[in-house]
Amino acid sequence: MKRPPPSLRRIVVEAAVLVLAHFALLQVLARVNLLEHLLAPGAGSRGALGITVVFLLLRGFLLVFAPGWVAVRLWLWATRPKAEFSGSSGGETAAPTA
Amino acid sequence: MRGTLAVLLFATCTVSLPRWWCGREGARWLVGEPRAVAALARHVAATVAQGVSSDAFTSDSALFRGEWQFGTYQMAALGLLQVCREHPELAGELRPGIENSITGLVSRSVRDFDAQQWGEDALASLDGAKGHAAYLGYLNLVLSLERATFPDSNHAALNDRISFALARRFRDSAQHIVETYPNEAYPVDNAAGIASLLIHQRVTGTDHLKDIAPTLQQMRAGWRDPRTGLLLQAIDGRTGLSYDRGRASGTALAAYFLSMGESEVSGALFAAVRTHLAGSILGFGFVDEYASGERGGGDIDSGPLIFGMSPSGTGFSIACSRAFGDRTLYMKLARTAYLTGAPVSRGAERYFITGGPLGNAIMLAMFTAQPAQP
Repeated sequence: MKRPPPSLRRIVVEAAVLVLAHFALLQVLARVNLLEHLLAPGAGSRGALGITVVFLLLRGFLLVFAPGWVAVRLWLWATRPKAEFSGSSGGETAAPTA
Repeated sequence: MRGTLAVLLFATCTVSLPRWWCGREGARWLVGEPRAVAALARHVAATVAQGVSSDAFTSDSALFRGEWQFGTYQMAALGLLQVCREHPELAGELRPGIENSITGLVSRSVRDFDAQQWGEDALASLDGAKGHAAYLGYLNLVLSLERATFPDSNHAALNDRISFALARRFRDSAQHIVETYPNEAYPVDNAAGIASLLIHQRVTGTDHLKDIAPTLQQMRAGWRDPRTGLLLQAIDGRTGLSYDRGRASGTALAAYFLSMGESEVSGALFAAVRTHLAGSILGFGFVDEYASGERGGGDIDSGPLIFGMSPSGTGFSIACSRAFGDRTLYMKLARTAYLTGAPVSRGAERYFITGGPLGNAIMLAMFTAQPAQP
């Protein structure tokens, strides 16, 4: 069964969650000395390294790939076929032209 | 058509937006914008004012923890001094940070990592024959630069004593290399000592050239990888033979140190890094630790390698690219620093959250490197 295209609200909410998750991790990691863990991990470095890897992957995606990803999702939403209109809810206001 | 345009849109956004967003801060650093520079400098100055303990570092090795404590004070001092040279209007605010760094560098607790290795204190044995190349070289580079920046320096006498001790050790070394620890000698550590003597010579008029010329000649030719020109990482002080390869971490840091005193050898070292190790993806620069065709692991010098990319080599190359006016490489590397460093602001300070005391001190020194001395 074909999945319905994401609504505008979902696209915006998912992008916002990504930004907020990054911001929250940024605030947590701002209180930890990470470089020392990265350069020479000690016995207690496993947790810090794990959080750092997750953070850097998230940050890499957010800053490098997310702009294009969000732009493409918005493009696909704005140009969705008319048959998909009824399947996409969420307060869309712009009428598609293609 | 709709799908093709989507792919084109994704490619256009991915190629253009990240490099613009992540390069905004680098552009300000490149031109030395006072607000950007002062914010990180304030953070580094505040860190050394609080004091840096070796317990703040996570390595299980007491030697590495001691080296990093020492390195934090040394890079903090170099970075703050460079800021004062470029922005004299900030000297009043930042000079206490420089004094705190020097106080830390000469403190007995910081000297201890070197003393443990040699069985003697470096400053108490300046008339002796043992090397202490890293401790004395790195410290003296700070003292010489501080004296060149502030003619009323309080550390001129110590700078003179260490300079003469280092010059004598270079002169007396059979292989023209001064050992860092017993039976361990590293050209990059000698580069710091050489640079300190070149600055001392410029400031005081003392002629050190005859003492350091053989070592400088080795850095020009003998200790270079014949294929790439990279500086060999380690030399056996007894035989003069290399026991490690040319690597980014040592070559780029040596080029940065030497650029404070001369531009010929340092320029050649930087050219080797740029030619054989530097690359970029989507405008984000990196520097590999080893040249193509060579494989090796990461270590305490390079940090953990990520697909061969060297965190230390990449960071140190920022300083080289600024010192030698390579704007393109500087911007590429600065984007990577922004992406992986994750800078945040707290009040009047700004710092990299993945940096910690050592990383932020290094980044200040790298971002504010001054033009290579002719």
